[in-house]
Amino acid sequence: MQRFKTISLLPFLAFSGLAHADTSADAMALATLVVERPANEGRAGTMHFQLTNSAGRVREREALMVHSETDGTERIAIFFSAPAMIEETAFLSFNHEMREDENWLYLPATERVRRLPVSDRGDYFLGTDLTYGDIKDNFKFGLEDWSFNLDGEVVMDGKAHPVLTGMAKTPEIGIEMGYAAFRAHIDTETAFPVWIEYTDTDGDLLKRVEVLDIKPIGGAQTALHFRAENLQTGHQTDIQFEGMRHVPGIDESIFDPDAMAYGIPDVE
Amino acid sequence: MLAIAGMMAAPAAADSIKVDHSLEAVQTLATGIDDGEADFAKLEIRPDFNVRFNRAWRADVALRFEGATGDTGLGSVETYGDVSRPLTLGPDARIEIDEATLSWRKRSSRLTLGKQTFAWGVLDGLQVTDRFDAVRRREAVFTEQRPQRISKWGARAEFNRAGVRWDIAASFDGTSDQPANPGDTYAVRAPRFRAGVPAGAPLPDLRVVTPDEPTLGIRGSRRIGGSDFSALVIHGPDTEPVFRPASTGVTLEYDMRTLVGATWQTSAGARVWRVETAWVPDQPVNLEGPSLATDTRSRWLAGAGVDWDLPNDLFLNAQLGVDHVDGDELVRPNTDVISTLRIQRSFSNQTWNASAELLGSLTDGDGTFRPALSWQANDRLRLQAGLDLVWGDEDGIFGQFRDTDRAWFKVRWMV
Repeated sequence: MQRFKTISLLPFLAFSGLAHADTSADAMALATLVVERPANEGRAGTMHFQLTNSAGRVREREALMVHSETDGTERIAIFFSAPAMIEETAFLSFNHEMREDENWLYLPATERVRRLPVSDRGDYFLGTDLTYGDIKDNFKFGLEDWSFNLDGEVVMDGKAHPVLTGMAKTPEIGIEMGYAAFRAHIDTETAFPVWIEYTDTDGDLLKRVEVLDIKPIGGAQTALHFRAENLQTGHQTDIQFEGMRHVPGIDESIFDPDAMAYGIPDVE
Repeated sequence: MLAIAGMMAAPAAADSIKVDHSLEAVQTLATGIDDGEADFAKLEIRPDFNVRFNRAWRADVALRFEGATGDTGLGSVETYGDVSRPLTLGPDARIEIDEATLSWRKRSSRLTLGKQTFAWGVLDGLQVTDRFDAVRRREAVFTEQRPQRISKWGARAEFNRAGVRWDIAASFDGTSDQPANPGDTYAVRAPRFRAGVPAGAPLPDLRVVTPDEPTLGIRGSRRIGGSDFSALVIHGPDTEPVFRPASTGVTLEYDMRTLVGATWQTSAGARVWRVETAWVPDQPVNLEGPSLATDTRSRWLAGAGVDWDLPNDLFLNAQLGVDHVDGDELVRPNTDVISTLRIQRSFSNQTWNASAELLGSLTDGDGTFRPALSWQANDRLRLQAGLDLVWGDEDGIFGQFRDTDRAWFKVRWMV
């Protein structure tokens, strides 16, 4: 069922006082609002993945996700706790501002922490419908990657949302991201895109992402439930966070690659 | 002793104990392609328990129940130390402790006591510095994971000091590499692994002399930018035997040796490069001739490899290893050059995985090709099938198993 209807005018622009400004400048202002959405320096919570294929077969995953951002490096650690087949598998990613990113994987079967090649942004993350770029971008659209535009507004669940569209700035960037274009409905209160549709580099509709629950955690708006559906394969990933909390001064040893083999850590 | 007693007492003061367990069952069926020699059925059941007493303390126990039919067998138990030896339930079934540990962790430090493995090195399956553990060789290289480690009783401390990651290990049981039993499908045939006795010629009665000495190791590693460096020393009984004449038959003995090694790995975009090198100044070796003479020689090992994340979910791993022993009259070649190539691709959100592995000796020209396909049917069930195809001369590392081409099917169920 369609949850929204399109409105051709742009009354939302009053939110930023840009109603009479140039449209692409307005679009850039909206994209900047999303990019500059504050984030916590440290947070942790339990992730529940539900992966459903086109035949309706469901796979489930549970993992502890720990996130921190200090000294120009964003660190994401994911420790799987279920199902048993992947229990204690751990994935660690360092996204450096000033140098190349780093990834590690701990597989209990190999008994070693393995440094991984840095995945392309367009590669899919651990069998989900989210790319590494989606994970890294955290529902933001890189200002250096996209040319933005506005396309009216829609009303979803009784609330008006401006529609932000983007085209990859170059074909190479599009190939790298796995997306040539997007269309997103922006909730200007939380600065979150709550509905996104991506088009692939062949111009075909590829994926729909819906953010279903947003709550302030430690003062920063955080997506607690979202869904990504591959519109070409019918595969769907549903991710819900439980017990998500702000952890100021998070213990950085949790992000020590060598400690990934120690098992799932307790986060204070 | 007081320290150990204190460690044991700490869990008793635990405030919130969490118990977790899992059970894995793996049924493998294989059929020989050539003459049925590799027909094989094996059932493994692996219960695993862990208890987390609190943030710091944890106990782990993992067992392995195995039963097999066919000529592949479950391997020799003669090379296990007395304290590690599996409980045999007849010739085709046994129970083994895979892990029995008590560990304490605080931040990046961990102390582990008990039966455990010590996985060092950065290459996959090519053992250059990864020579602390004993390894199962009962199915030669025809296993899903390589090396297949055998746990040993010991202690391990891991901690960071002065910007260096330290890993100190001591093992007190004399378990060595586990070969196949004589006459089994993957019993070694090549003269180099039989003190020069030609393939097909019968070996005299063999008796394993389990070493009494401990194995000690220390590794220091450091991360600099996107690179990891490590240096290590291992001192203890070799995990490969030398053959010595005895009053009745021949003994397999595991002489002391020291290994000094270093590793380096770095990520560069879609690639990770790995390099290892090691020097063993006193490698025990057998010499050619009827007297089963032994000597110690200088041995050099080196290896390099790359992981490459290719477009379209393709992954490639290529490695090259060199193993050189100085001197004349060896029962093995002075230099072995081994290459490995693995390419794999996953499909349908990683529910399907196709892989192909090519292992070969560039010095002997023998090798094996191992295509495989796996399907993750659901969260508990994985089905796998593949081929192990072997070629080469019967004196070669791989060619000695040239009559063991097989097709295999595996069902893995885990809760």
